[in-house]
Amino acid sequence: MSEWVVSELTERRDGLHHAPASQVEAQQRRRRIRRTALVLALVAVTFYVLFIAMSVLGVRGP
Amino acid sequence: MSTVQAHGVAGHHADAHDHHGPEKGWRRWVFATNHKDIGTMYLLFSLAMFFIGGLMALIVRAELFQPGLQLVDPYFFNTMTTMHALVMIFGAVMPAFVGLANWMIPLQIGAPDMALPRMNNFSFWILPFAFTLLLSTLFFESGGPAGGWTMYPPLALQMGETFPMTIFAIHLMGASSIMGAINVIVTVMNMRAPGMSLLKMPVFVWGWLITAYLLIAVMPVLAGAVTMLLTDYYFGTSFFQAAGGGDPVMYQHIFWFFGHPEVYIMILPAFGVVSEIIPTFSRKRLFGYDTMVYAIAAIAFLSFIVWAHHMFTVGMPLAGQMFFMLSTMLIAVPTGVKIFNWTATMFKGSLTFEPPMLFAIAFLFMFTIGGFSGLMLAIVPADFQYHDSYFVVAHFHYVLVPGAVFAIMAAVYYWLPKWTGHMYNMKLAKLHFWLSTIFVNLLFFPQHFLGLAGMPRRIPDYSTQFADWNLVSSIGAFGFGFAQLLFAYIVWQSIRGGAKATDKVWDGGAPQGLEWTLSSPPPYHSFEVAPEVK
Amino acid sequence: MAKTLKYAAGLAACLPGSAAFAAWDLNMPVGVTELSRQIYGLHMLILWVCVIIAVLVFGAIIYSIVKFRHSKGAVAATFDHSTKVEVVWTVIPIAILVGMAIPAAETLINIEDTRDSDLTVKVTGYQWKWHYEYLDHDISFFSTMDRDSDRARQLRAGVDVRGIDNYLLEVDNPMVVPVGAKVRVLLTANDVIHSWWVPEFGMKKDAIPGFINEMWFRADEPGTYRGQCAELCGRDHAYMPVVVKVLPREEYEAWLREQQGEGAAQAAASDVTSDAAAQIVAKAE
Repeated sequence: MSEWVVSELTERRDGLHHAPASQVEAQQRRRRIRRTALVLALVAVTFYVLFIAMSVLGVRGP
Repeated sequence: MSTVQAHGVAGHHADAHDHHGPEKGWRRWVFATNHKDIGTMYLLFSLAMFFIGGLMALIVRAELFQPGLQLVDPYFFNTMTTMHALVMIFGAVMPAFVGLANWMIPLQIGAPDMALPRMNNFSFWILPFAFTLLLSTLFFESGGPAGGWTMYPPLALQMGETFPMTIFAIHLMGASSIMGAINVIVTVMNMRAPGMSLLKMPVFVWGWLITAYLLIAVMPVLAGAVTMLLTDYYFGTSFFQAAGGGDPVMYQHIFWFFGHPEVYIMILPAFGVVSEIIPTFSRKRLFGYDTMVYAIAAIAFLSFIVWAHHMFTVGMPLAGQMFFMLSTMLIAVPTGVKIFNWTATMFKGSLTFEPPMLFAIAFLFMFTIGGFSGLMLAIVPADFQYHDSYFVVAHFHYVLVPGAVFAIMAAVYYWLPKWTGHMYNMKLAKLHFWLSTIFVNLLFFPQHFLGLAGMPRRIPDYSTQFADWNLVSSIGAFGFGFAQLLFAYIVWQSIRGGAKATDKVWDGGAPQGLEWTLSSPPPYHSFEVAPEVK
Repeated sequence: MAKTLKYAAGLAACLPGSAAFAAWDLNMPVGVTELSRQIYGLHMLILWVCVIIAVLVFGAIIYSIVKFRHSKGAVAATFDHSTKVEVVWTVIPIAILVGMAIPAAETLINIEDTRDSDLTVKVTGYQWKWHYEYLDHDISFFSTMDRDSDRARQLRAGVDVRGIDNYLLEVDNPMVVPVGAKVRVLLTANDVIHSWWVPEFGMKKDAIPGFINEMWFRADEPGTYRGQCAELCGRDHAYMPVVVKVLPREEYEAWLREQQGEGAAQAAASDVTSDAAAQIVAKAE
């Protein structure tokens, strides 16, 4: 999901206009953004699954 | 905060910046990726929902104007209380703060935009659909959801065809909130201007950063809870049905594991707003910046271990009640620190009373009143009396209306000239403030008395001994409701025109932060060259 | 003597219903049980603590507003933190909280102690009425809102509800208990969650399907005490009052005999429901 969002960030005319110090820095930042977003999304999904799993065990467990 | 110097960063591609304005017409809004446009849409959406939710509250208060059932059927009354809560929480307060975050976080940390602009667009445009779904249930033959916004089973499972619609709407709102939260965290963690270390960020950004973590932790929990309701309803599972070996109380535990942090989701950004405004108009730096940040973090942490104080009467083991009583009381400590620090910020300052400051001071007073009743509610034995009475209604409305909503209005009055480039009508804004403050107290303070005298919440009709205070409360409600039309008018006027605002807007005050280094209104693409914070 | 006492207590209990006296009620009732008085004491303790803190904090804010006005030429100081002060206003609230938690914990332990009861009544919530079952006496009956209130509560009924005694707070068959007896109440529900609340007893507890909850009260004064369902339970949530008649011992005994006489006739009618209730009890144990 974040792949295309991030890769286009600097090109889109109504998107991000940022002047990074260098291409390398820009790329690093894009990677960091992507990683943070994915980790957070994963946390959200984990919480969702975790709570349902807990309830299933709570109901069906001993 | 810190001296700010905008200067070019070596090696930037100046030619890549074709300076242009927004797109024309509807495309600007539907395909919006600009944080300012999306922020504006969030704020306007929230204002619309504020009026819809307010209308529902007025129906409730009109029915409660006097004893006896004059206007609506009890079922419709329950629908109104349920919808009022859902619309106000998910439609008015939360989107308002997301709107403020969209507008202000990039401006305050010196970023050109939010980190994920397309997701930003998506998370906003989900909301109108979610609320269309939710509000459309009002026109169903079976009526809208009427089991309370907490949707406790088994009552929630008695809903008709409104049930899946409501749940789907809640899922959508949750998804929208999670995406918004991810966007905030990613932006704050990765897009800060050079030199903007975490402990140099404005407290508003801090409040929102921590709120965003709360959102990511608890919105999926709500989604889990309502999904389980859905499977109980349609697929014969028995998560919460006693008849099938399920546990109705477990729903309440899961719901409030979401619900209590949710309360702070609605108040932590408000803390941030107030922490911006009070120093500006006190012409003095915020007292104890570090402590303020740690206090927000402490409140956020504690919010995860106090949930069962919403359900002391379900019959918990003694040890459980003790634990939740003590952990709840503990929240008073960081909250107290914040109140004291704001007071200390004003102390020996040089105060002026522009509309944002008036709202911030009112917040300080009335949020504290809500805090006091919260402390009272934490005392389990006393809670056995207060619980599910109008005392609780008074408590959380004090926290949410003169608390969160006043903070939002303070924020709007603070930043509106920055957004529109026009000053608004100060006299009208002050009138709006005084009307709101007087009527909001007339509306909610008597509800403390009603609750203590024994009036349960969520009832369309009451015994005659409650008549007098209900009358007062209803008068307050209509006064407060109509006063808000003035707010909409003031905002409208400022969008349309008015005296030109300067860059610093509050020249007489001492506004801190990067947003004041930009013009009013700021350029469509701001901070294309990152400012350097020293 | 006993009769005048009863009359006085009855009058006191009726007062909240009379518009002239208590309509502008500001505070919680002290109640008629040991627990309710303890709870009232706690409530007043916290209230006064809050009031004192409010006076100090609001006083400081108002002082700042009045004293440090820009328009009066106030010049802002430059201090922006003081570790000493911040430690002080972290520690003092903790001390106050501990001071409040101790009596609260004592009362809570007392509330949870349901041992040595003289009488056990099982209360079952239905949409929208209560069912009372005297486990020691084989008496059980439903308690529904009375006809006058029910007629007046209809949408646009055109009845002046102020003319009705105890509007919405009157039932056909009240729960009856002897004065001075420790009554253990077992709570459950048949459909959705309800909550049984009598403010004068200081307590409410949820009645939850599939669960048996416990609470107790010991009313010190005879009288009629009224409350309502406190947990949203559907359309007619507002119309399931709780009425408890506390009678002197001998009158209670008389009531008991009368009920047991009728009991045989009623038993057949209520068999179905008590069967369902018995199953729930069995399951919970």
